[in-house]
Amino acid sequence: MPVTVTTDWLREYAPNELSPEALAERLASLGLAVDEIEDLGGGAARLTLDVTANRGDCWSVLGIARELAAKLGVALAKPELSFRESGPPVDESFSVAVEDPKGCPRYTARLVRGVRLGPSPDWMQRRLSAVGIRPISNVVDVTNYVMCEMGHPLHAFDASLLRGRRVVVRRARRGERLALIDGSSKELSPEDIVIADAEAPVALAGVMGGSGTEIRDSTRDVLLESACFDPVSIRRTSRRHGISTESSVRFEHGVDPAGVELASRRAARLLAECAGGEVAPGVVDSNPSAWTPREIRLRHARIARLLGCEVPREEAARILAALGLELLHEEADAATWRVPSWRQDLSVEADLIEEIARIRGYDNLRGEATMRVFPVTPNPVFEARRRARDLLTGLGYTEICGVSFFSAEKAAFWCANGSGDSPIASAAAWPRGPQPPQAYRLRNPVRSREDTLRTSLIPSLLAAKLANQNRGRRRVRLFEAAPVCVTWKDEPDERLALLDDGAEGEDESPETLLRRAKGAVELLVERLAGHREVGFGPVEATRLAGLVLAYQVSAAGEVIGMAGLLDESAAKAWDVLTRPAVLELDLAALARLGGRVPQMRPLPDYPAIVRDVALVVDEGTTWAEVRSAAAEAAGRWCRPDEIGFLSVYRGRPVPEGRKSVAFRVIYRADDRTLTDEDVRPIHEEYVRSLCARLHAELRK
Amino acid sequence: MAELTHEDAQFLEQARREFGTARTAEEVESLRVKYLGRRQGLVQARFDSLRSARAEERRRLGASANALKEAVEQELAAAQARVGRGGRSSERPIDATLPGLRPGTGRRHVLVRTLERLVDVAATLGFSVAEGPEVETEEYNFDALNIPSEHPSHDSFDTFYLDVASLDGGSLPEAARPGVRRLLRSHTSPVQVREMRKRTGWRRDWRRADLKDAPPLRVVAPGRVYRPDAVDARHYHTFHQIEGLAVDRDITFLDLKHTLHLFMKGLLGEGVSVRFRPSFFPFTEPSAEMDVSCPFCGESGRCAVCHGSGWIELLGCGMVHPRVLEAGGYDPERVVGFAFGMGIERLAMARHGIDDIRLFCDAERGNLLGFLEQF
Repeated sequence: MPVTVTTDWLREYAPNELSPEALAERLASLGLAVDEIEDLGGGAARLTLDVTANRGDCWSVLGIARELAAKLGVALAKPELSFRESGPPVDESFSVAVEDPKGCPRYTARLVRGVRLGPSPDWMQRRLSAVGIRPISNVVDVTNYVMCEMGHPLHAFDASLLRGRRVVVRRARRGERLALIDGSSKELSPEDIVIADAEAPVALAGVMGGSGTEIRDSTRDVLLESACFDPVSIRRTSRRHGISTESSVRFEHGVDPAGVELASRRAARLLAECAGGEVAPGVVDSNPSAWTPREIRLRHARIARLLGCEVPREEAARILAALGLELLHEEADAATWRVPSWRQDLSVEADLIEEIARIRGYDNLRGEATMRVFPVTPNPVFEARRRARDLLTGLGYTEICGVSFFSAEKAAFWCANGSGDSPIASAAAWPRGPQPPQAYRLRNPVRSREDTLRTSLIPSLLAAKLANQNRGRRRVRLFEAAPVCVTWKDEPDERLALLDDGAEGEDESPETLLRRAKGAVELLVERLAGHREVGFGPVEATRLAGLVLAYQVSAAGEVIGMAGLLDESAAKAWDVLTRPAVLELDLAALARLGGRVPQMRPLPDYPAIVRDVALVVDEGTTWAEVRSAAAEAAGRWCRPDEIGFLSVYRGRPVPEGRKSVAFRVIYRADDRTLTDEDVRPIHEEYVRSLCARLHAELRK
Repeated sequence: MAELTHEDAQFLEQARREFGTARTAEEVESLRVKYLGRRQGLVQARFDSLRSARAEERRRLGASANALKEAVEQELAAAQARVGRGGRSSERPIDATLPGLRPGTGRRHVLVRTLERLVDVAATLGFSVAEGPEVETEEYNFDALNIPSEHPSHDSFDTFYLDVASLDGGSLPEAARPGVRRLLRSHTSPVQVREMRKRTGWRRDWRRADLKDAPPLRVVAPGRVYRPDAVDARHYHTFHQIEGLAVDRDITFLDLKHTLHLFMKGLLGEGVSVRFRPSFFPFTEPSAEMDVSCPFCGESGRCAVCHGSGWIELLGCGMVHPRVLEAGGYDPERVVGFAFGMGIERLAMARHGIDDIRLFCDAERGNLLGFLEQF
């Protein structure tokens, strides 16, 4: 539950010229986060603050003003408490008996005679309204005003209605009921603390007063209760009866037992001022377990030990004094402080150091951090390799650690082999390298023929494939992620390569093998770099040794690798019995693409209508052409970006030289569920127009 | 359950007997039809007979019939559970002992698995990953590491030296030949110097006064190294190492011991012990070999890994030689460092009981799926 205060009320106790925004910023630096600033006109504003659970003292204007005054270094003003007393003393008229001192550590009662009920003064009504409390009458408003100002909930009884001139604080008896001022009637539990008169309960202590004794127009004498109740009991009672009030939340957070009497005096003064009452001399004060102030010894060196930076001794003392702590005695290197009654949260030395740091401002603690922290710096290539391994092993590829040395002839494989003056650099932008192709050669090889260092991982994959083939594994799915050493630059070239024969026992078409390799690239690019589109652009096959079909792989506008199908002569040269798809990527380029964070696309609110289309087209018509035509022809409700490939079919009844391409089209409206009738004419027109564009027939 | 009429109770008695003696799914099915068939079933007949009952009786009889139906259904379910379903539906019995279906998942290479694990444990101790090139110069592989070329210590690092050759048989222009002699690194230690220079901003023209005391450094460098060894089950010309380096103002030999012990605990388990023996490396001073208590011994007699000694020689380490710090751009008067290096093959072999180093990378014996798929 947030606490609301107004800036002008705060200013009354902590003088300042700050704007509401500046004030909010200072409060936030103290740990009192301001959730909302609302302009009230005239330079004043209402602040809604989030008070942490340990700070019951900040549920009041005065508590917050105390923090602010300490922060700003100004003197905290004191509320006006004086009044004149007259008539017979209160203890001749009323007696108080606290039967449950644990539930009620302190209870005071004061008597104000001869009040005249009426509205409270405008200034009081304005302030109460501004913090969300409805003005009722001068007597009730005074109690609420003091609660907001000092944090002590008070209750005013019509003294004439208290039977036996007696107030008893006790636990409720089984079967007792109480009608409350909100009009409800509660059956009380023996755990509830109640205020009773000589006969029956008249208020649910700390939570709400009873209607039988509430202030009314005829009220003349007011018995003013200011007390302190056990927070746990109040919390349970509030929960049990489902009543949470400005009063109960304050008691739950703990009110200052020593401030009880001051609040009573403040209210008495205001009653005299606003309701014309005469305050009876004295106060009935039941304070059985008088609070003993806590003393804490603060060693000055501990401040720097805990915070890491020095705080001058005078400043530390000023801060603690401003928060209401009292210096008891000083030693050379320490001081003993008495904690004020409203700060029960301060119990050990570290609490005092926190206060010093807090008031000084965490941002004002400066110096060199001494703890050695060694953040592990990410290594993008190492990480990319790792993520590629996760993905590719999941896709069924097994990793190899390939050998590095080959014969010159085999190492030459997969090297761009155009002549020196050909424009190969632009035609096949990858792998980049000098012409004629070159590699490192061992001067002292272990086996004389294997003297050339690989410039590609493909030879290693083929060697591993061959080794496995010799052990009866005809089809393999392998990859390697490693650097290769190229002669033309000092850094290694980071590569990721894979070889795909398809699964053992399944004869897959070259197109399927290539599509599978492409699928692996698409997933790599999507997972590692967050991009979706991968291109397989044609390269002149002659430019790459050993590949019957070669493609340049690109993503996000950058060429990142090459892919293709092993040609017959290469298969023969390597003694391999299948013609796998092979692929090699520049892993560093892939890692560089990285970093695009996937962005959510909202899920559709309405279901789609799905139409599958199969068009018979010329063999030469590519899927890319079909897709772009299908996207361009898209009519109303049709989602061009959701056109999905289904299959290609060749063979009867599709004539020779033609193929059937099937794909899926989605129709969806943003505002309603489409019907077949909505879509039918649009789809028919769509298919007609597509057939015309692609010189196709619809396959029946 | 409502009370059964005498007649219904007898009826149920009979149904129980018959269901209880049914032995096959077919028998159970025919009993189901007999009793609970929707049209001709005997239970349905009891409901049909209600129509002719007197109105005041109907309520009692109906409750009894409902209870009867429920009881017969329970008998049916019990009988079906006993003989197994089969006749009635297409559901066949399930053989849960059949092997699980596993989409063909590939594996990491066992060396990579070991390497990544080393890197992960090192990361918990604040060490980042650095990698250096496999093609090195003599400066990084030897000179900067305090290994002078005409020195006996050089001999223990047999090295592959490199030329640049054309791949299509043609000759190369002179410009293609590198100015300095290239070699394949024989250990990962060159990365030490490369990383130090990267951090200090080292330049060739630095004098003593230019040397730095910061920034502190903690890296591990895994990677492939080469030595022209004769190949057998324990030796291969291509293998992998991981190098570790820490440089800071207040590092001591005790930090080295403590850090490596933590590293080994992370790698091999809390219970592992380590011991340090004096040794010699040109690039550390003092130098040490570290042994770990053999975690592979178990209860059985002679351990194949430690040969019964209880200790495994695992890595070489030491305090970075002042000349090496200087080569990296650090002032050896103001900073200290420690370094360690170990073979990854050796650890993988010990850990997984692998007895032939050629199974890892060799062109003929290595990278066999039958081997790789075991890890």
